[in-house]
Amino acid sequence: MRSFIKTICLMVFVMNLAPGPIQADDSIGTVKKLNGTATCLREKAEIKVKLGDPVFMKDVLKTDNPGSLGITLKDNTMISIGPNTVYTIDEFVFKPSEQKLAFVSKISKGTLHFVSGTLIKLAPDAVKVKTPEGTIGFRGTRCLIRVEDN
Amino acid sequence: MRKTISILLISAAVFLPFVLLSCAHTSTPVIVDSDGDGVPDNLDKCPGTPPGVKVDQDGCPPDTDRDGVPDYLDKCPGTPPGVKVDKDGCSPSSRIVLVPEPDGHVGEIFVTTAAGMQTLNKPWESTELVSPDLLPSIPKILDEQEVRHIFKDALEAQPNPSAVHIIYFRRGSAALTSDSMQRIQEILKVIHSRKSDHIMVLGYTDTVGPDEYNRRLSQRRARSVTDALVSKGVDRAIIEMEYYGKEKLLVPTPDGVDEPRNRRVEIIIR
Repeated sequence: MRSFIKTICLMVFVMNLAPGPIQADDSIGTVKKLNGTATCLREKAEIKVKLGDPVFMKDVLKTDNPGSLGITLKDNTMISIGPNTVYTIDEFVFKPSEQKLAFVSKISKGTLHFVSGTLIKLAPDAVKVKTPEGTIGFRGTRCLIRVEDN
Repeated sequence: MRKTISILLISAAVFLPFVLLSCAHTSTPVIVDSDGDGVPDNLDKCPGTPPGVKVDQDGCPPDTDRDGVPDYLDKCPGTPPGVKVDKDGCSPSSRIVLVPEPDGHVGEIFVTTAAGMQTLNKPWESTELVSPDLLPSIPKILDEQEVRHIFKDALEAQPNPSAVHIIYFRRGSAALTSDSMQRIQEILKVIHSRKSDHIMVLGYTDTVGPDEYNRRLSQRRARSVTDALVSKGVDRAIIEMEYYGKEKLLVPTPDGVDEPRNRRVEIIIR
């Protein structure tokens, strides 16, 4: 009987460990502008992006040609991408009261406009944008990045 | 007459092979230059050069950047040594441009590879990355109009900046005054007109008092604004609250300074 209870407890424990589906509250930003067609690769599913959609960590945003997309993140960072672009949000943590701040993203191809928000002001070193060749760090500003994949 | 012709034909049939054989032994070899570049095929290390393209003694056209793609085909001349290129002589590359703020202020960008770092700190200054193992190119200032043209779509897709409102508080208090309640009404109008789905409410204090006291005070200030918005119909689920105590001063002051402009709550409407 004791081993049976142990097994049940273990099963409940393991079930709680398994990652659950993404909740709307976990969103880190919102799609604020959309032109043409854009898709989002999320948890192995490709979703057609609509205006007002939430954005989540680990999302891979892709635009067609023509296509462009603008998102505003929780800390007020604004990211906009042009046509034929692949942009991934690897990590976004914005919990200033817990001193937990991080924003790491990656552009694999295409064009990107980055307008920094509160997170950079609080923790400049916590913000990075990667390209296939290198990494960009910021001191409170905006920049444009183009990655040509030939 | 017919007899003479017969003799001639027989003579020709008998002697012609000998004549031809003797010619083959004594004449110079035939030189073949299939691509017409001036270098015979047996010496031409680059056969098939198109007409008009200058070649070296091996029959090869020049490849100034030595990327394996001759100059006449190279759409990206000047590739640094060791960089892999495609059939057009081009390598994948990243271009980074520093953009000034609308008020003219310019920040700083650090572009890093395994080989080192370049800093951009002037408006429209730019660097290029061609390989993870090479230093980013020496920064140069690009023409603003050219940059705006290249990045037109990404620039036009920039979301509207969030609206930022500030409510100030009396010394040591988290209570909203009648003036503050009027500001709340204006903020509500903005929330509705923008159809906002996310509002940040950030509480702050001045530098009078200990850290922990100010953290709690800034939390109470943020909460009183949040409660006021919720009481006027804003969904609590779209409000995110943060508080910083006497960090992040609006007006920088030493510790212990009574500064009304630092006793505030910022409301950022996305």
